[in-house]
Amino acid sequence: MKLLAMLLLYAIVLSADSKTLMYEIISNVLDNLETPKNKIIYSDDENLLKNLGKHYKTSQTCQESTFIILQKSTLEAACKSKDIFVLNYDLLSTMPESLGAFFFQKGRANIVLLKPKLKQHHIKPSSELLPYLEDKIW
Amino acid sequence: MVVQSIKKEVIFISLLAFLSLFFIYVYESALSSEKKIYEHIQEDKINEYKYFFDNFTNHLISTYKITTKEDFYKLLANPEKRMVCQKSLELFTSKEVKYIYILQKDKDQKFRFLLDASKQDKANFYQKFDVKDNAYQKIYTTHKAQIIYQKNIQNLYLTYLYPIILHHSVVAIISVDISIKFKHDIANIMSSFKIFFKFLIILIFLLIVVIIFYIFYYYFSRKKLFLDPLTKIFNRNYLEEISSLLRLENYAIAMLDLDKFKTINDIYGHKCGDYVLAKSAKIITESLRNDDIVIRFGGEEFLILLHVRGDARSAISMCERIRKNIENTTFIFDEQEIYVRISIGLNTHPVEAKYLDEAIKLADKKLYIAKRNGRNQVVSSLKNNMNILNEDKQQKDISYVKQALLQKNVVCYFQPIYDVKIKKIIKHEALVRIIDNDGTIISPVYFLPNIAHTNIHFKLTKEIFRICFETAKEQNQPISININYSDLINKDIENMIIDNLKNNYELASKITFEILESDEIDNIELFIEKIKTLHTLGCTISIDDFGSGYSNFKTVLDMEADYLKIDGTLIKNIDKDEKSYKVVKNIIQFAKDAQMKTIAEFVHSKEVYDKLVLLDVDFLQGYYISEPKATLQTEVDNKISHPKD
Repeated sequence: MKLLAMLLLYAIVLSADSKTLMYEIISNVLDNLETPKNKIIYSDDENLLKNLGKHYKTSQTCQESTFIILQKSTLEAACKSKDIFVLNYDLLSTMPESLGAFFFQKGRANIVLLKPKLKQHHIKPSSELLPYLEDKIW
Repeated sequence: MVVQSIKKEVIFISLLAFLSLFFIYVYESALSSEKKIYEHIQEDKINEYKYFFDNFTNHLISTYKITTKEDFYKLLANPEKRMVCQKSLELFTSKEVKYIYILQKDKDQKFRFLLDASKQDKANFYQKFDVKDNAYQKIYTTHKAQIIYQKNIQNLYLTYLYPIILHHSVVAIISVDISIKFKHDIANIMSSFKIFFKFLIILIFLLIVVIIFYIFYYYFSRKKLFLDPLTKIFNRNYLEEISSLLRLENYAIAMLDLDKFKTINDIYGHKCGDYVLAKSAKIITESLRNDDIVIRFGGEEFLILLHVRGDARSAISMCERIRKNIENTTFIFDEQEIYVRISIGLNTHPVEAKYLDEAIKLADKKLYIAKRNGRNQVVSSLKNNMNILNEDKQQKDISYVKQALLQKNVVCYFQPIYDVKIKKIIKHEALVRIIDNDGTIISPVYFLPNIAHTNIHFKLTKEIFRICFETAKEQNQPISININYSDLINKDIENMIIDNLKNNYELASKITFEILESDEIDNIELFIEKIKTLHTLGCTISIDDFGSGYSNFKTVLDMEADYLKIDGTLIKNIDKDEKSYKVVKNIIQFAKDAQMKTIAEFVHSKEVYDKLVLLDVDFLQGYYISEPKATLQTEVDNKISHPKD
């Protein structure tokens, strides 16, 4: 919790390097999400995927992955049942399958994790992520 | 001296430190003033927002009759009403205000958007907003607006948090994210202030640099200030500088004067004079120890502060060493050998004087004695220091004489000059006196030496002349007046004599000028010329104190004097001292051959009188005849019996 909070604060303080921080925060969020399957990450953000590849097993296609991080709304229908995390708050609504999001709102780093979706995907968040849990999308 | 030097360095460094601190203070003050002005402008701008938000919330609360936190939530949960409120709030978005929104803390302590009037990056109603700054929590406890200075969040400068308070409780926060433009706008306003402060700082910096430069200049040039460029020894500035710090009990004071220096200058030229001065200074310095101080006092005069370690006699031997070293040194200039001698007057106990000046004056008196006694010698005050000091108490200084002149206390006493042949007083010699405030008659020995070569001396001479001219005129009696070489060549005195005696032969014929023999006569031609002027006016001339001084027979003859007054030191023992008798006899013969009448002064006894009569002296003067009196006399005090009678 403390580490994540610090990273969020750090993201505010040093937004000049916000991409790097974003990668670290997402990596941290992934660390704190306990998924039923081993995480094989796919993302339509190549840089993110490359960065996460340092810590996680990654895949170049969504079919072979178990955890998808999207910055755009386009996704093959076959992949829609997988664990989807988005990089835009609005994508949470446009992609109802997504279980959470990381985004910058008015310059501040924000995390939203949808409690029902996590439950549906049998994902258990660690206590560090509890403040970011939401019952629904507002 | 060393301690003093260290003290001055400490003062100098302290001054530098003070100036540095002063500059830092000015610099800090300028920066802090700049900061304060900046903060003031910023505060004013923020107060504008506060004023607006006060009106905005009051309007909401009164229009929608909000009494609780829930009412507020319900109001903004209503999309239509929220839109109305949003429109009101949107009015305040600008280039400066990037985001403006209302947040509310839910039961889980999460901050949520109730309304977002921002034109971009708009949040949904009740969307969670992750805020980490403590100010968001603090506003709920303090109920006071908070300012968060942002560090480059999307060009945000600061976030202003305004609490919406209902019944002493914060129900929501209006958050305004102000862009960096706000800062730039203030910076623009500040630019003129900044230029002013920069100018002020530069000006003060330059001023301090100039002051430091002058301090350095003074510090490094002060040594130059105290050194005589010719002799490379200290000058009088240095004496003045140290005079207040001198402990006279540790020093003896010697005044040194190069003998006949003017003659060296006249014969060999000024370059040679400079060479003699520089070399003499070097010899003097080399003859001394490190803790003695040599000062070029003026012209060919030197002053030495001799550090005395217990015995004052060591100072005498130091002076004697200097004298011998000068005497034994061969001065060669342009292949010419120059013989240089020095006279030294030494005050061994300057501490007994009140002031340094007084102590120097005493050394100077000793120097005068050394000169008078034939030069090239050391005269010390050691043996008779106390006598001199006692004498000194009776001594009258220049201001005393000045005062006496102002108060008309200067008078003349007259001593008769007696004609042996006709047995009558034929004239009187005028002798100056000062009447003290208590009526005491002050003899010239107590004031004349102290005013020699001063303007007061000339004023005194003029006053004596005035008295004598008046007395001679009123009483129709001849009077002898003493005049020395410096008086004779003084233009004012010459003019006074001419003004009174020219075209007044009757008065001029009654005046005899007694020219004092003196070693000061450095221009014989001028001297003779002035005497001729007196002759031309109709005055008679008498050579005073003949036989004691230079006694240059050629000069005496050139003077064409009418009288020759034989020196008292030869006369007073003439009845006992065979040598004096023979000298006087020869002087009388010389005078007769030169067609001059003789006057013998100091006739104090019948025995002396008889001897002089036998030697056929023309005129006699002395206490045996009559003592000086305030008035002219017609009869002598004693009934004089002539040997031939």
